[in-house]
Amino acid sequence: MKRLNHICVLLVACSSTFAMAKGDKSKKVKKVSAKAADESGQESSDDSATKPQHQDYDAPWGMAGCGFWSTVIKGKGRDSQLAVSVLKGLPYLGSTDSQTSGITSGTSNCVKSRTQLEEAEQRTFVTVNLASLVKESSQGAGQHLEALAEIFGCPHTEFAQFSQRRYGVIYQDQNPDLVLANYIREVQAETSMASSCQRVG
Amino acid sequence: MKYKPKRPWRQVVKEWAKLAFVLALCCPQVARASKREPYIDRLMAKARAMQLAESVTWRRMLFIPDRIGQGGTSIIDEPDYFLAQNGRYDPEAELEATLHGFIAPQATGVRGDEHVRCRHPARWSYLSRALGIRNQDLPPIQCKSLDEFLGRLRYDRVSLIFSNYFMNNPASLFGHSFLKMHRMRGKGEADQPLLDDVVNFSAAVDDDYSLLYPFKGLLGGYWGFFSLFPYHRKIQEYNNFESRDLWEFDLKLTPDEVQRLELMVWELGGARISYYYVHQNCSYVMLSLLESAAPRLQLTKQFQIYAVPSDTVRAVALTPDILTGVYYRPSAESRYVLRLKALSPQETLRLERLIHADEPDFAEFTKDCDKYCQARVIDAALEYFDFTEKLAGARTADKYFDLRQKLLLKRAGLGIKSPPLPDDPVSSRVDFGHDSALIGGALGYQSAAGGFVDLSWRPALQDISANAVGYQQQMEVKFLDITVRKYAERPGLALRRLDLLEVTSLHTDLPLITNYAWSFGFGGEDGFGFGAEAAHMRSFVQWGLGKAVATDDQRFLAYTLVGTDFGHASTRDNSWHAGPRIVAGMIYKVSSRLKLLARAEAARYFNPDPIDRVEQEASAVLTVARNRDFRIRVNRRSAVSEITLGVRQYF
Repeated sequence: MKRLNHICVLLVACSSTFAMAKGDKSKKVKKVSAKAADESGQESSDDSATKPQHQDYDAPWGMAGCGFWSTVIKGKGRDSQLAVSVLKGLPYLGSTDSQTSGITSGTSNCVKSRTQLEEAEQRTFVTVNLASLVKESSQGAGQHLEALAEIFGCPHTEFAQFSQRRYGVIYQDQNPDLVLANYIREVQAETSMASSCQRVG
Repeated sequence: MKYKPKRPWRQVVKEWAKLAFVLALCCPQVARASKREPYIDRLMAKARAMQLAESVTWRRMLFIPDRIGQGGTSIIDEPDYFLAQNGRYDPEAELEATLHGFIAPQATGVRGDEHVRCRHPARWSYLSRALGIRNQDLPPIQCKSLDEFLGRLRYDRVSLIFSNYFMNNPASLFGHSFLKMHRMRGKGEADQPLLDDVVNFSAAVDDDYSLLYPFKGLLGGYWGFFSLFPYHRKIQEYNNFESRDLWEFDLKLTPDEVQRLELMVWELGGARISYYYVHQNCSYVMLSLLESAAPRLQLTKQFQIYAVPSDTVRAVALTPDILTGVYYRPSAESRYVLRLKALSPQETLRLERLIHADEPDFAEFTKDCDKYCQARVIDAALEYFDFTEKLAGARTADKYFDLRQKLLLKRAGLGIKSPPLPDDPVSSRVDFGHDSALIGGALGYQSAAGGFVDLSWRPALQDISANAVGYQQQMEVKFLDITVRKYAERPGLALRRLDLLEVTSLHTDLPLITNYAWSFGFGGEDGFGFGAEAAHMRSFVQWGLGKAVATDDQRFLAYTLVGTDFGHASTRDNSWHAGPRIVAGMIYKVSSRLKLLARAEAARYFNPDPIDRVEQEASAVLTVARNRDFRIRVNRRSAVSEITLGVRQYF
């Protein structure tokens, strides 16, 4: 994780979505920095509660994709347009790395290697869209499921059927990290899926 | 042998030649300076001859709006955005500084991305073409980050997204808009809209949510910033958390315009702009951004004083030949409504039993209900949970956690695919609606004072008497709604009514969901009192809470509201008054153009002697064009009757 600190300050997307999975208050997310990103990432990996604590959940919205200064974080019940925005204090041009960064689905380019990039993208997508993925997987169809199939590099129809068929295993704990780990394990365990999914494992 | 010295002039020439050689090696820019100076002069002369600094494209790239009195001042407040010291106020100085920056060599010891050609690639793209500047004539540079940015994010289309009116928050009453950048897909690959990106502009509001918030919002007390998100985040935010429908308008832009938009997004980065809630808000800045990429568009000019988000969307959507497609993305509530539509009455009952049960009785649930029936009912239940529990992100249900888990497992076990939601939007297209502002005129006759003329004006937004196309069916938001009256037999104009703000929601129930009607408003009105006394002006604050019911097709709606009214009439001896108030009304939509309305209100004000107010009103409104309607209204208030015949023009 230290490497990420140097590469970009902006694991905002990643860190804040982890924070939100834990149900962190917005203030915790707001003061996000590379360090916070690191910490919250760490916390999330330890969080394996079956039912995520969401009592203090604030909408996680507005984490600017990696790359722009402003991170918009909304407090409970606040509006979305005049949302809380956090200037991360990056100099205008000193942040060009982060400007480029993270713009693919929120995390890309925060990391340099393809594997890390894919993993971060998958993790962010699952975290941000978990409630929708749970529902669509049980229904065997939906745009979120299609997008996840795309991120995993799997054929869409087969992936939707697979998600429904293996629903009980993949979503037994509705924690984003566990769901992602389950997906990877289950895809790899099923020969037809393992051979057709390009970005799993 | 006698030493013969070399001739001194040869020595001198040699020394100078050595020095020149070293200089040429070490400081090539010095050596080339003599060539470059005329070049910049030539460029500037050409730019002046072409009047580039005054060109529409250049002004739009600097975000100089076409507002009266704006002159050449950009709305961007970020000093670092400009290269000239007074670049914000002087487009020509900024142009000159930009050209100087273009031809400067890449500085050593700092990152290449700080070169002007890297910082301002949109300017480079425009000016290099306009002035015929060739890369090979300039010192070579590297823009590593920019190249990565452009290499990674390849867009081929742009959409304008409108997030529907949101009654639960004053700042979102008028809706919100942002741009979506479509990721380029391979040949034959289907679109993945969730993986597209959006460009958003929003204000950075202080954490302490103080009473100053609206004032700061109105007076430019907040900075606004651009941000770039994956679209799926905004879907979670708007569709799921706030339950707002999204309307996506695909725009027909040329590939050059799409690329310039991308470059502008890069350039703007963290540039800050003063956020004014009324005239320089998210929607106005989005239009400015679109214009900077496509200067041929005339979008912001019509928003001289204020910019209502829905009007800005109409400004774009009504531009000839600009739309290539319009898509609807239903909110959690709308998805629930659409899933309910697929249920038979028996299946709806089954759904209600399922939700109400502490422990679902699957034996009973599956009795006489095949797996398709079960799937339909569970799908509706899942949308019910999404809506009532605001399920977004990684949030899990609270009240219905166990039930949802069981139904999800049951649903997966059925092994059948849910059909896509029907293409039957619950809300209507915002671009089909009338414009936000209105001006109205009416001729009338009153039993107490004779003939009169009413003139009305309102900058925004919608009332329940107007055609609801493009608006939420059961919503009323009146902002600065003013009517003045001139009686034929009295001198001068008199204020008839002023609604500084009036918001009414007549939200009806859905199966399993109870909604309440409510209203809140404050303003002033004439005619306070009873009978012959009904001639006082008063200011008021009033609210009400009640219920609204409607037929399934929403053509007939009835409502009642009970609340209080608190007011002040300075011309009366006992000026302060307060009391209970009850309102009942009905709306019947005869056709898409004709609407009938009836309304009755009764109130009793104590000050300390009671003053009764009884009002009945009936009206018919005929919409003849998107922006015009005719109306007839009969009203009797506090024993004074009047009839008016009027016309409204929206603009």
